[in-house]
Amino acid sequence: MTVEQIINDIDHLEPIPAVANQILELTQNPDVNIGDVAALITHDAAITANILKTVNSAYFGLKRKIESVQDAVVMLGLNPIVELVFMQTSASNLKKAYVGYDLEEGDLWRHSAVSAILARMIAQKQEMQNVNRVFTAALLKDIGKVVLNQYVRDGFKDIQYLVHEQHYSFKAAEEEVIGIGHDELGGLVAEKWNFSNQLAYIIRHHHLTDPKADKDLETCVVYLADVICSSMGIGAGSDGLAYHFIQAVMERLGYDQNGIEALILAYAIKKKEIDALIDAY
Amino acid sequence: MKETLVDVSDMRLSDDGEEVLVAPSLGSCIAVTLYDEGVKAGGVMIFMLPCADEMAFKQAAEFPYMFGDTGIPAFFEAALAFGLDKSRLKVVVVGGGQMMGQEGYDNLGGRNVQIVQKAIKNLGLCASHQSVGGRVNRTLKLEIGSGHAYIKVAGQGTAKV
Repeated sequence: MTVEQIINDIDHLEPIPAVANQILELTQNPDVNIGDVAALITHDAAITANILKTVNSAYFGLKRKIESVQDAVVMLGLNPIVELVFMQTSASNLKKAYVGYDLEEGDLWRHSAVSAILARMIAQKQEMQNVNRVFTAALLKDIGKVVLNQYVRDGFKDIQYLVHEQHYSFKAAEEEVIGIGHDELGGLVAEKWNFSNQLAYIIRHHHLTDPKADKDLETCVVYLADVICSSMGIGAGSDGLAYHFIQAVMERLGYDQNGIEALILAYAIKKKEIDALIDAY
Repeated sequence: MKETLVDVSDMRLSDDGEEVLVAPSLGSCIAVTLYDEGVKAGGVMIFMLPCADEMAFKQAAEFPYMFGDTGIPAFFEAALAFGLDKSRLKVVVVGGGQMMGQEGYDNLGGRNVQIVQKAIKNLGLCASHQSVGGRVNRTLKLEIGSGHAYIKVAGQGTAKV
């Protein structure tokens, strides 16, 4: 097995449709015409059908029935609609069981979706401009695990030895045993799918192992969301807590322990509705 | 045997000898089990945050099992009302993990461990087994028929207590 062979396996993933990318790019522009976004979404029948089903679910609690994407965008704003586009297009890859990571069916999906929702909450508190990009990066940050799964399964004993006996982080153990970590591989997936440079950057550096990555606020937000989600054990597998906690990043984003607990509380109060949304895919 | 998942911020008591209560993938969250061999009944509660402070008071009233300080006494009361006898209670505490490098900080897993120990002591109880802290996720299963608790530590196998 070579790293080149592993990289070739990226082609086995179900690709994100180009329209999802176009929608994300379009919404990066603060002056975007929402009619243009709605029209673009309507070109994809599967995405449209899913959006109409989901916006009429209990999660959004709307009083009247939404019957068009245009209506949905007007009622809810662009951000939730872009989130639904990426949830719909990512679910098939993320929902499966990944035994290499000791993840049962639905675990990686739950971890990814809750990370994305937490990342959005942090980004909104920071009043960040590109909340959609942060959400999408958090949702897809572990896409590399989907590709690396079978190699982690093959090298599991060695990885576990490094993590538990030598105090490696799980991704450092992946690099040592397999030759590449799921974060780097996720960055390569993002490039292959023609994601923007920034989106690929966040996915590649979401564990902040590159010392420069903690200068990038969006990457820090995704890191923190991942840490909180993993700490709570949400959809966590064998790598769950085997990562480094960087206190300075938490402080940089304006959180102390009370702030983190308040964020977890905000999630916990909405947990039933969030679970229903996640389980609908 | 039928497995029943217990939700985080919730609890479940049972006297169904065929039932296994499951607390899956506990990171910093903590699962507490209470079991009475005499009546062959017991339960599991999972809390995620240590203390319901003033800010969260309203939530604590609505979701008492979300917090250690409100959840553990409420779970204890519910267990007694269910017919468990305090003098026979077997208590198991599982979870409270933390990430690498978090050990020196005021971290959530550590705070959850502290609160559960304090709350159990305040109730005049003593944990017969604890599997807490460290950099691992755990899954707990409580067999109502036998009272055995099975603690699976991710990547390290399962222990029966």
